[in-house]
Amino acid sequence: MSARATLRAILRAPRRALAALAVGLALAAPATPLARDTLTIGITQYPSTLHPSIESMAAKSYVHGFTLRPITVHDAEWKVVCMLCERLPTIENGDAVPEMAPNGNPGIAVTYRLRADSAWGDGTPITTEDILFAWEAGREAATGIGPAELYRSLHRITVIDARTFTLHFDKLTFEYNAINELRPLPAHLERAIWQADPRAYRTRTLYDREPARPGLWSGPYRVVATQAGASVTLERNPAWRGREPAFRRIVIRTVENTAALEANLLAGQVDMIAGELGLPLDQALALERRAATRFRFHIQPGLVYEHIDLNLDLPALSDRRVREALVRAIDRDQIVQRLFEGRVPVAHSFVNPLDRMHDPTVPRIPFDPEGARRLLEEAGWRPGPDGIRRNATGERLSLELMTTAGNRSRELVQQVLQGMWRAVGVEVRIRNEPPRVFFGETLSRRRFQGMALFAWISSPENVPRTILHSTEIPTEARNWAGQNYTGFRHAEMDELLERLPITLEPEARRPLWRRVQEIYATEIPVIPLFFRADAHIWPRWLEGVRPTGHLAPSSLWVEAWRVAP
Amino acid sequence: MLRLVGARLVQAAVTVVLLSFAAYALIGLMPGDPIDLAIASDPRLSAADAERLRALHGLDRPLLERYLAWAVSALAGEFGFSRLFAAPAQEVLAAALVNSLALLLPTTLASAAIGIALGILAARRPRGAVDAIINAVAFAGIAMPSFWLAILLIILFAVVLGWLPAGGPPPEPTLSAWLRHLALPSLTLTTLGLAAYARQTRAAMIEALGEPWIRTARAKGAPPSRVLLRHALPNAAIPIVTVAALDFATLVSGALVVETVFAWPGMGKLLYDAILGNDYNVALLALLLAALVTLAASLAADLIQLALDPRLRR
Amino acid sequence: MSGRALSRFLAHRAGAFSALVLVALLAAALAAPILAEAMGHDPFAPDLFKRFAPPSAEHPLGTDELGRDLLLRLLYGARVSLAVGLGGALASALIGLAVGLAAAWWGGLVDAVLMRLADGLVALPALPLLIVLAAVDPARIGLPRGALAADLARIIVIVALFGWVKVARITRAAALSILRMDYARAAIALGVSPARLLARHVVPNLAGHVAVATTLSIGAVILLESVLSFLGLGIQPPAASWGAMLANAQDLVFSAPMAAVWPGLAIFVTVVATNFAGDALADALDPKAEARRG
Repeated sequence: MSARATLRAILRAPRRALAALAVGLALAAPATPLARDTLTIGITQYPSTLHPSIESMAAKSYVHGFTLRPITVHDAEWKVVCMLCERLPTIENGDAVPEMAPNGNPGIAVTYRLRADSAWGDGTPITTEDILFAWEAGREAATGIGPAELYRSLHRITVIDARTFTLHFDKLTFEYNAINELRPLPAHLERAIWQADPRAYRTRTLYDREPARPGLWSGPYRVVATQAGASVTLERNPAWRGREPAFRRIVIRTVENTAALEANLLAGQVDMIAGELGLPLDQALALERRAATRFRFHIQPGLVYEHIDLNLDLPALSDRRVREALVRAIDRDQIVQRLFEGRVPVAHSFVNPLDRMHDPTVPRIPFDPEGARRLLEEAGWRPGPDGIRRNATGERLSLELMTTAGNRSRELVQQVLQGMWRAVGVEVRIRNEPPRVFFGETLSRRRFQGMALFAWISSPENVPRTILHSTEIPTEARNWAGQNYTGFRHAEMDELLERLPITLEPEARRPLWRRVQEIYATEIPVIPLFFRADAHIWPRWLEGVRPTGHLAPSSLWVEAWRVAP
Repeated sequence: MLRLVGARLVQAAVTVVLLSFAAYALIGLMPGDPIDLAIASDPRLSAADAERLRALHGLDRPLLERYLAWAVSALAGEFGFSRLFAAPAQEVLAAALVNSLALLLPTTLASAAIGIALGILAARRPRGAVDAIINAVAFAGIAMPSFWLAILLIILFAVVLGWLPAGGPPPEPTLSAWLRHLALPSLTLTTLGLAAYARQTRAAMIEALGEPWIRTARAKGAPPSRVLLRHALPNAAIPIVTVAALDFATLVSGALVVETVFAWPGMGKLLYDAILGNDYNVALLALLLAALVTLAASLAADLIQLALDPRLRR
Repeated sequence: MSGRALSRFLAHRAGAFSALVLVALLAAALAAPILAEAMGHDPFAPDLFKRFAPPSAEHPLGTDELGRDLLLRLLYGARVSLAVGLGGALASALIGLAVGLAAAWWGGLVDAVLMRLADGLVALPALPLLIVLAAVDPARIGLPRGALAADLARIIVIVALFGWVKVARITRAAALSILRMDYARAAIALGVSPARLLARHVVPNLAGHVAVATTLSIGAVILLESVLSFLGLGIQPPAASWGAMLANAQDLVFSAPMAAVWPGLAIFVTVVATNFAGDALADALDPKAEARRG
C-alpha cells in the first residue's frame, strides 16, 4: 500500500514530488522508518451522524475539528478566539453594540466578518448565506436540532454583505461574542434538501448520505470515506487556504473496548490515542510505566468535574454539620495520589483551578476525621453497638451511594469512600444502576436516597444556574427539567446566579464568583471530589498537539501537528 | 409433513406479532429515553426543547398507537429510518448483517463440524487418553470468557508476533484482507463454540454405542468406523441437532463481546446500540430477522428429527 | 440414588474426584469468614497503600486493585459464583425439564405454545428487559434493598428465565422419541399413570443429555453474573464474585494479569469439576447401564 500511496502522492502534488521521491527511496531501505504521510488515530466512539448541528457527541466533534471550522471557539488558553471570523467583536472595538430587544429586554447586536480565504472544500466561498441557512434550519422546530437556546435568543440576522452580518440577541450576557455553536452550513448543497421537507432533513442531509462530498467540509481536511462503526478517513482539503497540515491522510479508527484499543496501539495499528476519547486514566498510567520510551504521554486536566450530589431533602443530610462531617471524613488527596498517581487535581468546588474565575483563597475543608466525629456528635449521631452512629430516636446513620453501574473507576472511588466513612461511623450502602436509569430517572426525578456520584462537563466560566438556582429543582410540574438535583435553596446564591451573566466586565464578576464559591464551600450541597484528566498518547515522532481540557477538541488546531525532524 | 409445515407457518406469524409487540413495549418501558438523557447531560436543553424533540420523534404518542403505526408500515415493507444512524433502517441493518454473517456463518459451521468430530472421537474410547485431551479442550472453551480469549489472541498474534491485525474490518475489499481480518475473531468464536458440540455429541454417542443393536452390529463383524458413523451417529443425532438449531438461530444476532473487542461492526453491536438509543426501527427490524431465523431453525430441527426417527411420523 | 447407582457414580473416578473438589470448594466458600478472622484482615476494606501487592505470607495470592486480599475475595466470590452457577443452572434445568416433558406429553396446542415461547426467548434481545428490571426499585415492591440474598435470588431468576430453553428443547426432542419406543407404548397400553411413566421410563433415559447441557451451562452462568453486575442487576460492590473480578481486571490486562488469572482459574476448576460430576451422574442414572452391568 505504501508504494501505491507514494505514487499517488507524486501524481497529486507535483510540488512535493521531490520529497515524495525521497520517501520512495527510503522505502527501499527497510531500516528507515516508513513515510509518515498517514496518521492513524484511535478513539473509543463512532459518530452516529456527521451533521454539524444535529446531536452533540464527542466523536463527532473530534472529527469536525479536522474538517469544519467554527466561527468562534475557546482555545487552549480557555479564551474565546475567532476561527472563521476576522476579529472577535467586542463592545470595546465597536463591533458589538448593546440595544433594546423587541421583547423589552436588554439585548445586543454583534457584527462578524468572515475571513476572505474561508471556503468549502469544493471552492465555494463561505458566506453569510451559509450562516443564514444554518440559523433558519436551526430555529425551525421540524428540523429537530438539539438545544434551541441559541436559536431562541438569536432573534434576527442582518446581512451587510456576502461576508459581513450582524446577529441580534434578545439577551445580554458576558459571553455575547461566543457563538461556538452557530456552525455555518453549506447552503449551496443543503438548502434545497432542507427546503424540500424540513422534517425529513435529518435523514436526507448529505453529511450522512454522501459524506465524501468535498463541498460539505471547510477545515484543513475533508472526509473521503466512512466505514460505519469502524473508521472515518480524511484527506487534505485542496480548498484549504490556511497553513498546510503535515499529513496527507488521517484515519480515525473506532475501537470501543479500551483493552483492545491499547493492543491496537502496541501492535502499531493506530499511531496515537486521542485523549478526548481515549483510555481510562489508570489504564493509561499503567501503560506509561511500561511504554514510556515508545510513546509520549500527556495528561491533560480538564473540566469534567466528579462530585457527589447530596439529597438535601433527607433529614440526616439536611443538617449542614452532617454534610461537613462527610467531607472532613474523606481523604481526597490520598484517593487522587493512590488511584491516579496525583495526576488529577482535587476539587474543592465546581470551579476548575485552571478557570480564570477560580479563587484559591476560598476556605477549604481539610481531611480531618476527628473533626468529622466531633461534628457528628454535635449533630446528635452517637456510635451504636455495631460501630454505626445512631440518633436519639435510634435511627442508624446509613446512606445510599449511587453511581453508574459498570464504570470501574467510579466503583473504585465509591468503595474507598465507603471505607473512609465507615471509619467515622457512617454506613454507606452502594447501589448502582445502568447509566440510562441513573441519569434518566433516579437522578433527574430526584429519587436517590442519599448520595449520587457523577460528573459534569462544562465550558470555561460556565454559570451554574441550572445546577444551583432554586427554581431549577426538577419537579413533575416542570416536566423534570433543571439539574438542581440536590434541592439546594439559597436566596443569595439565586441572586448571584442572576447577576453573573449580565455583568459584562470580567473584573466586576470576580467578587461575585468568589462569593458563589464561598457559599458552595460552606453550605456543601455537593461533595467535590476531583477533576478528571484526559490521557493523550502520541508517538514520539509527533509534535504540536495541544489539548485544551475543555470541550473544544485538539483536532481544531491540526495545522500545528508536525512530524519531529 | 406438509401439514406440519403449514401449522408452523401459522404459529410463526402469531409468534412474530407477539414478539414484535413485546420488544416494542420493552424498549418503550426502559426508563431514560435518549431525550431524558440529553436533558440530564446538556444543561442548555430546556423543558420546552424536550417536548419539541419528543414530538418530533413521535415519542409523545402512546406506545400502542406507535406500535400499530410501525406494524402497518412494516407490513407494507416500509421499515422507516434509523433514529440513531440517520439512514433507512434496512440499509443500516444490511451493512451490519453482511459483517456478522461473514464472521458467524463460517465459524458456526466450523464449530459444529469440528465439535461433532471431536465428540465422536472422544466417544470411541470414553475415559481414554484421546477423550481426556478433547475434554480438556472443551472445558477450556466453556470456562474461557470470550473477552479473555479474544484479548489473549490479540496479544499473541498482533502485539507479540505481529502476524495478524488486532481488529477492525478489512480496509480494502480484497480476499486476503478479509481473511487476515477474520482470522482472529473466527478463531475465538470457533474455539468457544465447538465445546458444546463436542460435549453433547460425546454424551449422545456413548449412550448410542451402549444400545443392543450396536452390539449386534459389532458381533456381525461390521467395521468399527461403520458402526460409529452408520449405526450410532444417526441415533445420537437428536440432541446434537437440537443444540445446532439453537446455535444457528443466533447467527443473525451477532456476537456482541467479540465484535466489540475486535472492533468488528456487526449485528451484536448494532442491536445493543439501537436498543440503548431507543432506535425502534433498527431494533425491531433486527428482532424480526432474528425471530424468522429462529423459527426456521427450530422447524428445521423438527423436520430433521422426523427424518431420523420414522416412528415419530405415526 | 440407589446403592447401585451410587457405586456406579463412585466408579467414575474423575467424577467422584470432581464431586470431592466441588464439596471442598463449597466448604472453603462457607469457611471464608473463619479464614478472614484467622488471617486478620477484612477483604472488603480498601487499603490504597497496598494496591496490587505481590504474593506474601500475609497475602498468599497478593492483593487486588484496592489492596484487598485476593485469596479471601476469591473465597467470598465463590459464595456468590457457586450459588449463582449451580442455582441458576439447576433452576434452568428443572424448568426446562418440566416444559420439555409437558410439550412432548400433551403435544398439539400445549407443545406449540411452549415451543414458540422458547423460540421467542431465543430471538428476543435480553437487554431491554434487563434494563427495565434494573429500574425496578426493590424497596417499592416490598423486597429488601441491597441484601445479598435478595440480589442472588434475582440473578438466579433472571438466569432461569432465559436459561431453560436449551434443556426444554433437548428434553422434548428426546422424550418424543422415547414415548414412541415399544416399551413406552406398552406401558401406555397397560394404563400406567403418566407421572409414573415419565418418571420411570422417560426421565432416566434422557437424564444424560440434560446433565450434559446443564453442566455445560454452569460456566456461562457464572460469567453471566458479571454481565448482570455491569447493568447494576447483579451484586453490588464491595461484594465479590469471580465474574466481577474477571471483568474488573479487563482494563489492566497488560499490567496486572494475575488479578484475572485467579478468578479465571477458579471458574475453570468449577467447570471441569461440574462437567465430570455431571458425566458420573448421567452414568449413575442411566438405566441401560444398569441393564448392561446388572
